[in-house]
Parts: sequence; C-alpha cells; structure tokens
Amino acid sequence: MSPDAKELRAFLDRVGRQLRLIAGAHGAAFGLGLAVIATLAGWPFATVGRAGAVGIALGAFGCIISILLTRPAAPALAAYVERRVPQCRNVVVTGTELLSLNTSANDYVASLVWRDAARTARTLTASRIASARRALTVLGIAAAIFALALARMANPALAALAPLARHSATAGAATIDRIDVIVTPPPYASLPPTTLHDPQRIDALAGSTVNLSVRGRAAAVTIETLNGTRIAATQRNGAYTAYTANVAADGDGYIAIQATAPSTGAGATNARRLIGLSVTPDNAPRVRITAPAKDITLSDAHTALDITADAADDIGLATLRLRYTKVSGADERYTFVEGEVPLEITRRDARTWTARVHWPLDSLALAPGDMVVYRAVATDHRPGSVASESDAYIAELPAPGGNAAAGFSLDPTEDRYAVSQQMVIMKTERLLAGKSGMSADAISSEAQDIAAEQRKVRAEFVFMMGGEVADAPDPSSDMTSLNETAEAEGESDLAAGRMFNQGRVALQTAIRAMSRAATSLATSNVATALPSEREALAQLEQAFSRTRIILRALTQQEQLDLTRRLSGSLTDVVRNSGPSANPAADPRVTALRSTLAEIASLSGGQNANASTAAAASALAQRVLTVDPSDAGLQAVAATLDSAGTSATHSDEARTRAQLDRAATSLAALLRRNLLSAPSAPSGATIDRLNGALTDALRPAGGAP
Amino acid sequence: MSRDALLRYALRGTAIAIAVAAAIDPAVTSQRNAKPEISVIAGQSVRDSTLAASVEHALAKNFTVLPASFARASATVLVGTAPRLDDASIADLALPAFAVTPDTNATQISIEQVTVPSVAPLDARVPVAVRVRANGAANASVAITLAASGGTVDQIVKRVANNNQEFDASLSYLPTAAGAAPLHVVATLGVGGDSARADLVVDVRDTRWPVLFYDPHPSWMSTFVRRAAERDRRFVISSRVVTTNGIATETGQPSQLDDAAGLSRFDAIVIGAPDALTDAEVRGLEMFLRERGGRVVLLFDAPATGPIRRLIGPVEWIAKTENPSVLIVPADADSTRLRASALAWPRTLPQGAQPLAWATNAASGHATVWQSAVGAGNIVVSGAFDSWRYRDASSSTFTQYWQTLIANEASAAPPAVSVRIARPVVQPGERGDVTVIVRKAALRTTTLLQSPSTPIQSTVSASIDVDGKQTSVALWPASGVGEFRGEFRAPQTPGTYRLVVAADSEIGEAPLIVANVVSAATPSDKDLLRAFVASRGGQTIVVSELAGLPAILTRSLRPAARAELWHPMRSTWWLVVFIAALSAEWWMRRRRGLL
Repeated sequence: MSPDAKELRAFLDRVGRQLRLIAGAHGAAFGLGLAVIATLAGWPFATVGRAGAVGIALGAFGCIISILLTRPAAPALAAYVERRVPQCRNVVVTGTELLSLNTSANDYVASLVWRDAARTARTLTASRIASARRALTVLGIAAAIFALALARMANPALAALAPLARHSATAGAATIDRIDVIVTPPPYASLPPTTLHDPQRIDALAGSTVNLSVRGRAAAVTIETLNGTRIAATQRNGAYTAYTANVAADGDGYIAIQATAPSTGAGATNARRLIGLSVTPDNAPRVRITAPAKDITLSDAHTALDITADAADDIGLATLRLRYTKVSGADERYTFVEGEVPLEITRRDARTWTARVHWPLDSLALAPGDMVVYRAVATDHRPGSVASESDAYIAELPAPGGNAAAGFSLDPTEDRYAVSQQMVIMKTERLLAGKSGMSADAISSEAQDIAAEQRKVRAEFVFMMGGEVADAPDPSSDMTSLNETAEAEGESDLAAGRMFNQGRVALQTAIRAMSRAATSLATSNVATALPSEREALAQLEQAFSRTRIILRALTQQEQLDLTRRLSGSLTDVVRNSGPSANPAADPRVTALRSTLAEIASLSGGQNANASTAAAASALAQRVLTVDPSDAGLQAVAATLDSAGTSATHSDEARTRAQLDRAATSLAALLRRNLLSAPSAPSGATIDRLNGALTDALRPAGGAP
Repeated sequence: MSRDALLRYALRGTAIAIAVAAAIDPAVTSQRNAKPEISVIAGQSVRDSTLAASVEHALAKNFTVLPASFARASATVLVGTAPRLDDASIADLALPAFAVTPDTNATQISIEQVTVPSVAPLDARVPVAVRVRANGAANASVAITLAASGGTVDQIVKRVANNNQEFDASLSYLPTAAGAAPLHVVATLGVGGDSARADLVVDVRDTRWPVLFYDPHPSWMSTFVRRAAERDRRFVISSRVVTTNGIATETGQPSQLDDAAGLSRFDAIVIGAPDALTDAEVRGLEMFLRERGGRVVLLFDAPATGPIRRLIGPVEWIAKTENPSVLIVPADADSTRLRASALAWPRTLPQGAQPLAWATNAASGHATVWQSAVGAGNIVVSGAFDSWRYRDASSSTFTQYWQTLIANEASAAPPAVSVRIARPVVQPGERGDVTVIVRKAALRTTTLLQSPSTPIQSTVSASIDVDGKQTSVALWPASGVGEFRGEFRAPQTPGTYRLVVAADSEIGEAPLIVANVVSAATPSDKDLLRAFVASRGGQTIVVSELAGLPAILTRSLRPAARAELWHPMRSTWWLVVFIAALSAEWWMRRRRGLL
C-alpha cells in the first residue's frame, strides 16, 4: 500500500472516531433525558443520590449503546466526507473504492488517485468535517436539566420554577406542596420504616412514630391530632420552607396539617391538609395446647405426657413456655407447686411457632389424689405486654375409689334426702292402706320400723346442719335418738323469726316435722304421723330450692333492681303519671347530618379556591372526630381531603366530583341509622271511599 | 290590416280589458275545498315541544296548523308520549286523532315517574322512587342522581339490558334541616349522553306524631311495643295502662277512649289487650276512626273476644303455637322481620282487609298482621301474640318493625287542614292549582247523617307570603264536603314560598318552589295513547315516519267543499299581464317607427 493510500485510510479512521464520539454524546443525552422525565414525573427515587446514580447510569448506557451501533464502513465514511465537502470531487470515494479493490500500488491510475485523495485529506480536518460541538452541547444541556431536576427534588423551593410543577401558587397564600411521611414502627417490632408521599391515610402499628416532612410555602406549619395535640413543625433547611415534626401513633384519628400564610394582606390564606391515621394495635399472642387438649386421668405417677402447643402473633413471638401447677393434698390442706417445662420449639416464622415436649411426670412425685394443671404461655416483644395463656388442662392421679375433680360439679345425689323422706311417706301410706287387714302388733312393728327410718333420715339433716339443732344428742346415746320434745319446743323460736335464713328455717322446720312424725310412729299413731311426714317433705323441697338460689352469686350487672319488682302494699297503689319519653337525638347522626349539609352546600358553591380547600379539610376533620376508627368515615374524610387538594389547584370539576362522592358515601353511612320515612298517604278522600266500600261489603254486626 | 297591426290591437285591447275589469272588480261565488285545520297538542317536556315543532313544520304546507286543542279542527295530532289532555280537552277533541311518538330506536332517556312523600320527618330517610325509560340504549349504563342544595346526595348506576327498557331505581334523601327541600333527579345515559331531569320538593318537618298507647289491663306486647316507640324521636307517646280498677299508670297526656275531643289530638292509638275494652271504649275508638280518620293498632294477646270484634269485622281465628318460632315477614318489600311462636290469623280475611305481614309457617303464609278500613280511618290487627319474646336484635327486628308500622299509620292520619299543590315546582308567574281538605268538615259525615239539619260551617282562607306581603289565594268549594280548590299565580321571583291555609283555628301549609327552569317527570303512556287514537279513528306513527303524516291525514280527511266569494281581479298577477301587454304593444309600435 502506497503512503498516500495509508494516509487516506488514516483520515477515514479519524472521521469514524469523530462520528462515534458524536453518537456517544447523543446516546448519553438521550439517557439523561429519560432520567429527567422520570425525576420530574415523580418516579419514586428515594434520595437525590440514588436518582443521580440512576441518571448517570442511563446516560452511560445510552452512550455505549450508541457507540456500538455506530460503526460505519470505509465507503460510508468516504461518502459522508464527500457529502460534507463536495469540493473533494469524488476523489476520496474513488480512492476508498480502490483501497477496497486491493489495487496494486504500482497501478499508475490508483497511485494518481491516492495521491490526489491524500492531498485533499491533508487539507481537511476530521473534527471539522464531523463536528461534535452540537452533540456535546446537547449532552451538556441534558446534563444541566438533569442537575436542575435533582436540585428540585432536593429543594422544593425550585419546584415553582419547574415546567412540570403542578400549579402556581397565589402570591401570599400558603401552600403545602408535598408531604413525605416516614412511619417508623416501634423498635421491638423489627419492621422496616414505611415511606409515603402525600398520603390520604396512614396505617401504622400502635407505638409507631410518624415523621412528617411538609414542603411548601408557609410562615409556620402546625400539626394537630385528634386528641387535640398541637405540634409546631420545625423549619428544616434554612431558606427553604420544609418543616418536620413527629407524631406518635397511639390511636385512630387524623393528622391535620395547617400551613400559615407567609404574609398578611390580600390573598394571604392558610393551607390545610388532613391525613387519616389508622392505628393497628399489636394484638396479644394466641396460644393453645393442641394435644392432649383435654383433661386426662393418669394411670400411675410414672406416666409421661406428650404435649404439643402452637402460638401465633401478628408481629412476632418472643417466648413460648409450658407452665404447670401441681396440686397436692385434700380437704382444707392443699399444696400448690408451680413450675415450667422446657419445650422443643419449631419456628415456622417469627410469628408462628409450634412446640412439643415429652414430659415424664416422675419428677413431680405425684401421689394418689394429686393433680397437675398445665397450660402454654406465650409473649410477644411488646414492652410491658401481658403473657397470653392457653386453656388449662388437668392431669389427675385419682385416689383409690375417688372421683376425678369431685366437688367441682354439683352433687348428683342432691335429691337423695327428699327421696328418702318420700320413701318414708310412701311406706306410711302403704301401712295405712293395709292397716285394716293387719294385727295391732304387726301394725306396731311396721310403724316402729318406719319410725326408725324416719329418724335416720332426720339424722342426715341434723348432721348436715352441723349439729346445730338445739338439743345436741348425748354423745353416749344412739346417734339417731334425739330429744324430740325439746326440738318440738324450739319451733316457737323459729316462728318468732329469730333465724333469717329462710332456707335454714325450712330445714329446721323439716327436722321438727320429722321429729313429730317419728314420735307418732313410735306410738303406732300412723295417721297422725303422715301429715308431719308430708310437711317435712314440703319443707325439704323448699329448703333446697331456696338454698340453690341463695348459693348463686349475682354479679354487679345482675343485681336486681328492687324498685322495679312488683311488690309492695296494696294500699300504696295510686295512680302514677309521668311525662312522655323524650329520647335524645343520636349525637353521631346529628353530627354527620350537619356535616352532610355542609358538604352539599360546599359542593353547590361555584368556586374551587383556598377557602373551599380549607372548608373541605375542616369537614374531613369533623368526620374523623365522630368516629376515627370507622373505615367508612375514614374513606369519606380521605375523599374530602382530596377535594380540598383539588380545590387548592383550582380544579373545580374534580373538586365537585370528590365532594359529591364524599356526600353520597356519607349519606350511605347515615342511612343505616335512620328508618325510612312513611310513603305518601293516600289522602282523606281515598281513605273515606275505602272505608265506605268496606262498610258496604261487610254484613252488619261483627260476629263471624 | 296586417298581422302585426292585428297583434298590436289585441295587446292594447287586452290591457284595456284588464283595466276595465279591475275597475269593475267582479265577485264570483264558487264551491271550493278549504285548507284543513289541524290541532297539534304536545306534551310538557322540552323534547315533546321540539317534536311538536317538527310536526307543525311537516304539516304547514298542506294544512292550517293550530298549536292547541280546537274542537272545530279537521283532526288532532297528539305529539309525544304524554300529551297534555284533561277531561275537558278530551271531550272537545277534534276527530280523528293521530299521535306522533318519539322514535323508539333513537337513543334517549326519560324519567317516567318520581314518587316521593310530600311531607317527611327530619329523623328519617326519605325514599325517592324513580322510574326511568331508556330507548335504544342496550348495554349502556344509566346514572340516576339525586341532588339537593346543588350537591349530589345519592346516585345509582344501572345497566340497560335491551333497547326499550323501563326500570325502577330507589334513591333516598337524608334531610339535614327542617323546611322545604328542593330536589332534582337526573338520569344520564352513559358519559355525557342524553339526560332527563325532574324537579320535586319534600317538606321536611321537625314535628312529632302524637300516639296514644292504651292498655285496659297490662300487656307484655303493648309494653314492649311502647318501649320501642318511645325510643323513636318521631313520636310523642302518651300512655295509659289500667293496672287495676280505677288505678292506672300514665305518661304524657292520655285520654279516655270515650273522649272524642281528647282523642282527636292523636294521630294513632295503639291498644294492648284489646279484648278487655268495654263497649263504650270501642264506640270511642270507632268515632276516632271515622270522624278523625285516625289509625288504630290492636295488639292482641289471644284471639279476639269482646266488643272489639265489632270493629275488626267477622273473623274466625285460627290460633297456633309453633315450635320452633316462625318468622313473620311484611307483605311489602320492607326488610323488617317479626318472630313469634304463639300466633293467630283469620281463616278468611274480612272483606276489604289487606294483609300487612305473613307468618312463614305455611307455603302460602298466613296473614298474621293485617289492616282494614273503618270510615276514613284504618285499623291494624296483630295476631303475633308473643312476638315481644323475640324482640332481641338477633332474633328479629321487633323494634324497627313496630316503629315503621306505627310511623306509617300515624303519618297516614289526615291533618286538620290538608294542602296539596298540584305542581309544587313552577316557573315564575305560572298558574298553579291547590286543593284544600278541612278534616273537621270532610269527615263529619256521620254527624251529618245523624242530624242533617246541623249545618257544617268552615271559614277558610289561603295566602302566599311574597316578600313579606300576603298574597291571597281564592278558594272555592269543590265536589266533596270540606274540600276546596283554588288557583294562584306563582311569584315572579324564584325562591321558596309557603302557601298557608287557615281553616277555623287550624293551619295547613305546603311549600311552593319557584324556579326559572323546571322539569317534570314525563310519564309515557304509549299503549294507552295508541288505544286512545285508534278509538278516535286515527293511528300512531313514530317520528321517523313523520314525512308520511300529511298523506295519512289527507287520506283520512274528507275535504269539505264550501261556497266561497271570489274576486278574480284582485290577484296581483293581472298587473303583470297588464304591464306586459302594454309594453309589448309599445315595443311593436316603436319598431315600426310609429312613435
């Protein structure tokens, strides 16, 4: 290859490099342009640094792709040069074609062409033929715009200058341009913070901290919550009107943000925004024993229990344990020993745990009659939280002949005594019925037997009463032999009402009646005995029924209102008159109805301006004040707040649509509390005709 | 004489003859066919007015169109689906009658009917029933909106299934303050499509219905129904429970049942243990029903016995104890429910009685709660003896059922002075009609029958307060006793007014809304209209066939020939002929050089 040919090729290479440089600059500019659009459109880059990095990456990517796509061949470069410099008169193109034909260097014509082409190339500068100045200018402009976008993101004061700014604020009026919220859950929850931008509602775990960053034009920003707390937000970064404040999420409610106008005078209006706050309480863990989920009777003291339990929590579990209480002893002497059994825990995740244990009861040294009460206990990480317990189950080692958990249920033989007395009566009646066919001795003998039974029954009740019958038996005498006469004399005491417990009185009376019956039977006076036996039975029934009533404890809520009992003296009965009932209006309905009227009035107005926005926000606050935990009212408040935002932007159609939606939603909620109004009456004329027709259709008189 | 001269003389002679004839002005009598006169009557809506204009334009060439009812016209064309026809205009209608209705294939929507109570209590939701017709709008959505105070208060969106569909929509209005509440119902087809509007007004009143509970002896049923009513702010409850002879427990200002004047204060009376009512008390109740137009609710604890049977009519009771208890559902679409285990119903409802609630213990149900008219009043009989036992909200809606029933009954009792304005929403200066019924006179028929010589006198006056000045409205006795009718002209300034009627010592009033733009529901009675015009020798055509209407009318009409005096020389065309003849004669002479 001749030197001229080499010189021509080198020239073409320089032009190619220049073209790749231009393409790279264009690609980078395009990438930065994409980044600018995304940033201005609010594509959620969390920080300025990250947004910058993403922009640089897009620029680099565009640059590389463009360079890779721009690899022109020599003929194309020659044609480009000829287009740019027509004075070359095709010598560059011809020389390039001869190069591609591998023409010999000795070829005269080729040498002549290369010589002319090289001479022409020497007069040309690649950077002038393919000037990168414009491409670099475009890249510079793109970079500058991107830098401005980043600056706007970092500093909302520049937002008003941005072409994509949503609105231009009225001079002197306060604005709330952006609200950034970072909800930081309580540390024990180990949950990441949540970032929200211009939210209508904040959902937070109880105990979270809500960090508010309010950007806009304002002299001051105050933040108010449902419980009346007012927080003055602090100005964050000097000249720019960005304010921050922290609010504790301790209950459902709202966060009302009010920006005070930066100046006074005409057009100086405050801006207001309302954010609903829904606080999710940290629920206590749920724990249950899954096996054996029932009371069991142990066969011996060396039995092992296989217990499984599971627990779940909405945030995360901290502990899961199995606790037991060993109960030993009898009568009035019980011993309680508490302990804990280590569990083998399987954590499906932080919120769901299962546990199992094979628990040999040897170590408890259970004796017959002892029992073990066990339950699972779980806690979560919430500071100061009370542990949740599962149902408790009993494992009992029964005493010989004993009944499991005796005394915890009603004695099934409670009617035994009455039945026994009934048996005495029945036998007495049978004796009376067959008396005519019996000898006097037989009657006397039979009567003595019945008297003995009567005394036995009576003795049962005497023991039941703790031996409080006036004349306690002589210890040396037979248990069933009592001083009947002395007991009978005591009835006057009963009649005098010295004993207040009517059940006890009935029982005492029954014992006296039994005494009389036994005395009569002992003298073979069967006919006299029977009424006493029956009286005893009646008194017993009365005594037990009363006892059952008395034994039932009444809670505070179940306390009887003695003033409403239909009791009293007949002579006290008089005409009773009082005023008509005047039920109070439901305050919820009243408040919401008033709010509904104001929403309708606001919607009927024609202006969407700052005062409309403030009114809508105030209405939203009132709605949430009624019941901050009501999801329906939260939605209404959010819609009202959106209407306020639309009004701030002077978007009348949108404001009206949102106010209408808030009104219809609120009306739907109110409708549930109100009954339907009666339909239109038919009128006196129709009613009269109806009545006349009915009269005409019916026969005279009312009998069917 | 040359031909040219002859022509000139002819032209000159013609001109002279015309001039002479014009001077004489002869009159000719001839039999001629007159241009038929057609009366065009349109509906109230703007759409019908537009359609009427099209009809008039189509007929103007061949007929003389009269835009009103005219008895001596050759025919009548009714335009729209609901042309304005009252009894008088129907009688004077020129026959045959034709009808032009909107094209059913055209996409359009109309509000056929809006039903709303004219008076509603403040503490209730006011049902607004709307009937909408959508034409040519299959698969489109219709938004029906209720607006008050400029804002939307309720909205329903429905999808239209076919091209000519009529459907009902239930909206509700929540009153926020007492007073006249102007409402607007707007039905819009699709997004920005055809729409229709109807204006209405509800008179929201913060008044409470006086209700008397009377128990001749204590009754669980009455006690719990009374407690339900006492929790409702819409009632003022007075009660009288006779606990023993001569001893009663009372609240409010109750009356004895035989005290007609005292009872007239109440709109409704609820009777517990009605079996124990005496004959005198039943007579008092009957008086209350017939002469007060009051409402009575009888809460039986057992099948009816005693004098009360005279009021409820001949009933053979079937009593039954159900285990488990049965549900009792209202006969209308109300969502309230009762439950009872001891209940009774009549084997056959008395003549004129209507069921209010059915026990669901049989496939066909039993009318456990029913009503019957007695004079101008109404009596409700409950056979749900122990429904009070199932008053817990988990078992039934005992409280809401009785609150609703008693409210319906109390509101239906006629007020002392009833005022009804035919169209309560009118344009400025528009004429309106008002009907007034004075209860005291209208329902005193029993007294009148007993002593016909006793005249019924009532002094009635009506007025509208316009800018602080009372504008009197003249009332005239109408067909019924105690009924008056009047006509008024609406005030010129848009706003809300009240028409107040004073009758003796009682006052009645009704709201009147004056607005610049007023729309009303336009009920479509297409089938009725078709039958109407067919019976009057005509036919119905749709607007797309309007071009054929003149031909149809021409075919149907017999052109009537009539003698007509005719002045043939009075036509201006003679002047043209006269000038042309003279000009031609002059031109011919000039051509020959005679001038």
